[in-house]
Amino acid sequence: MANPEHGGGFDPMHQFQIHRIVELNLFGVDVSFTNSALMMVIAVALITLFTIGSMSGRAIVPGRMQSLAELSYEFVANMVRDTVGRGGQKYFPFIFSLFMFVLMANMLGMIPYSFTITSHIIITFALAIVIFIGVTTIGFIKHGAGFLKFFVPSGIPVILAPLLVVIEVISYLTRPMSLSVRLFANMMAGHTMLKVFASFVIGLGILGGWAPLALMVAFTGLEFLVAFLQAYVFAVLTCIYLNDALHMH
Amino acid sequence: MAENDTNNQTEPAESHEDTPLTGHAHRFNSRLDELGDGLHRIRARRVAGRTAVRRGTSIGLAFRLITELVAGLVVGGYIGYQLDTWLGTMPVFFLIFFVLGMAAGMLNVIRTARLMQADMARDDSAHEDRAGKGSRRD
Repeated sequence: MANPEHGGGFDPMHQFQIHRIVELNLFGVDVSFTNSALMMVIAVALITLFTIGSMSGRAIVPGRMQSLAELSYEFVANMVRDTVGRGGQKYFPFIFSLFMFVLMANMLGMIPYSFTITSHIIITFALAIVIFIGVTTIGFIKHGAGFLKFFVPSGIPVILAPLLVVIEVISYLTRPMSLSVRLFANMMAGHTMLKVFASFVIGLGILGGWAPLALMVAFTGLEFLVAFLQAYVFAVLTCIYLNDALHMH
Repeated sequence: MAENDTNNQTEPAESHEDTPLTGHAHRFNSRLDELGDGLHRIRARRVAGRTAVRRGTSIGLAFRLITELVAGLVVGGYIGYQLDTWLGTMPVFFLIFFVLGMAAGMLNVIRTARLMQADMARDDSAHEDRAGKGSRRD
């Protein structure tokens, strides 16, 4: 294994480092344009280019790119219809943007030498907290104070009610936490693992390096699956939370 | 009379089978069956693939449950810690909310597991439905 003390040390966490590209300071707050911000801009630009560009033809018989755009539209539309049901189509644009952004961020991270936006918990947590606050607000707008009944399980003894309400509230508050940690941990663990195995390939040299190399190929395939799956899970859980807020079970 | 009618109806069909042209029809039918089987197989494979993607890897499922549990602990502990620093009663609320967080985590785990179970049951029934429809069409 490469020794960090020597030159050209190996650090599997190096890929997650954020560095400033354009230094910016707004009223004492560091708002520098970083490599993370750059990747976000690229992701949004690619999604916009993909959806607008591929649909501009509006062919009745879709070509490859138009099929892809229609497929992603239908995939998310089905997800919203299945999990949210009635009244869910209103929130489709948000879910679609969310899904496409997370998917594109995860997939861009799979390109060698690029940066995985979603491997930073602050990014996923910001997404999750926006969803959490938004969904809770929707719940209170739709049901008024009646939304508080969501925290009272039906058919429980009065003595147990205070305890169970506290547990329900904590369980509700864990949502942004588990939502963000799941995405961030999956992406970071996967990419770190790839880096560690890559170092084994170099470390074992031309004789023994083939076994970890073969594993790397398999893991890369798995990482693509995880990248898609985590975007899907993120969007589906948002739909489930939305469903809870709209219909209260 | 009724018997005569049925005989009349069946006879032409049988004679049709005997004519040399029926070899053609027979081959056509068997080819149709073959295509139907192939279509059925492809459809079943596609449904299975879709369910596999939906379910993800087992480690993914396990990871989902673990995060729910840990998130409960962390959020409960954090609330207790903040209450303690605010009220100056250091370990009291931390311990209470740590336990409550554990309970909330368990609750989330059970809910998530139930959701997964419902998902799997739905996928399985959809799989059977589609497979059944395919064989009927054959």
